[in-house]
Amino acid sequence: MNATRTAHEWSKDAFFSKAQRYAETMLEKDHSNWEFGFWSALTLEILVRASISNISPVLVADGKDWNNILYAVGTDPNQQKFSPKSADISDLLKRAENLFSSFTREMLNFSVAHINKRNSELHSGALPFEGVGSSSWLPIYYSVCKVLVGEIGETLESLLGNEVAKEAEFHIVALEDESAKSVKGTINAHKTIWGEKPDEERITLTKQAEILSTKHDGHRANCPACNSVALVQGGSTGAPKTTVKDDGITEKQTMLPSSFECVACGLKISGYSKLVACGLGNTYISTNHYDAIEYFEINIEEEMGNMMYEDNNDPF
Amino acid sequence: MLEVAKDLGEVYKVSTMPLVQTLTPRLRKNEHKNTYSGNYGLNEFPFHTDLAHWYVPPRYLLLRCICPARNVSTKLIDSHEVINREVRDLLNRAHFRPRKRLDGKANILKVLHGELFRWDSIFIEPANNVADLLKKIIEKRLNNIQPKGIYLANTGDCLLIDNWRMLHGRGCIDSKSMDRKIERIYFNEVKF
Repeated sequence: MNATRTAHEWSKDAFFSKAQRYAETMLEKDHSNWEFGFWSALTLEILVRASISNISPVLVADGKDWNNILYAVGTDPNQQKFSPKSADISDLLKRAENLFSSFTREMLNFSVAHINKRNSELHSGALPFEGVGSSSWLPIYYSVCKVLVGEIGETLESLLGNEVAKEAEFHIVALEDESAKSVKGTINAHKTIWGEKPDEERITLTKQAEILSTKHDGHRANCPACNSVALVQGGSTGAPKTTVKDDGITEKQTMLPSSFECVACGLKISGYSKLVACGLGNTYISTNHYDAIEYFEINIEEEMGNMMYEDNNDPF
Repeated sequence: MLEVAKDLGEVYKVSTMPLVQTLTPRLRKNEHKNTYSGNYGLNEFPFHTDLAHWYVPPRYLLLRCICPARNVSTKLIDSHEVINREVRDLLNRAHFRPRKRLDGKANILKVLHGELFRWDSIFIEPANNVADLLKKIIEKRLNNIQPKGIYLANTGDCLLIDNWRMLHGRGCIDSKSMDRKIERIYFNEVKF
């Protein structure tokens, strides 16, 4: 760390300090005040940027203009009237989902919706934070914050202060309990309906589920309501592991579950926290096989042409 | 001075200052408020980090005596003595800012930033309530800690200060010490 007059505006520390500053303003308001929601959305946006910048400020840059990347690495572009532009928050949220295994699809969906409210607040006459009870969003908001601060080696205490951090943990635990209760209720309802079906229908549906739930379409798991074979869908987490063998290339990707569907009894569960609550939250491996031509996207005709008709300045 | 410094480590030039700066006692009325002399004149300088208002101040500074003043000491306090539990709890959430914008920018500064502990009672100011509280606590602690006094008593005496760890201050200048002259140079790194 050499002497530096000012911080890079896309550095993790600059972003995190700003997130703390916004959180402080947010916490000065009552939960029922529209400004509480508004500042919470600004805090979230800056926290997302901090967590991504922690890997590299380059990931925060708008890649459409390479001068932004140059600026991100600390070099001022040799361009008149240059104004650095960072990536849109919608792009950064997608990057966060790819980069952080604990930033689940549910969290992504919540974050997109919450930050959209901020856009609506600033760019329209709508009042998206007015009259919205905090209980509908605060628990998942704190869950998202906990994941993001964890990614940069910080804590909820450093973001929100000790007292609010305790309150936030309480909300997070309650959210998990609520998810568990709600999913157990849904499973029990499907169990009851399944039990009321005639034996013949249950056997037919179970056989159909066995045929329809192929590995090609998702990860096979037993349904917690009817015990038929069902499918878990998920999103990739972490980098795939690739092995090259004589017969082609195998790519193994760890997947984090995001939804479950049983075609036999019709049970559907959406969201990682609910899947964890009913024992379907384990990560799984998705394996794909490719031949070399497919994997490297080789154009055979072009390759053959290159081999047969080599460039030649003096054609004969 | 420069030869000695280059042997010691990687010298750092502050763009707005000469590479080797000469420090002499100055009367408050003749100086600008952007210097300690302009604020404290010949009185004691409070404990501080040089260039604390920068995002990252230079790591080390070397003082070399050109003309000694036997009554004037350079006082030092180890920041490790300043940080107690009460201070530690506030450090992460206390936001300070430079008194003036620097290069047209305003930064949030933290007193503890990795290995760097910075302090300055006038050139950085609290930017939130936590920082107001932290400032009061740190100033109280600085008043209660017994500093170490180092006298550059002979021409050529040198003192190398870890600017990220040790807070330093100058003693009061009396009428016999007006000829005191010290050279200063900054480093990003030194070889140990």
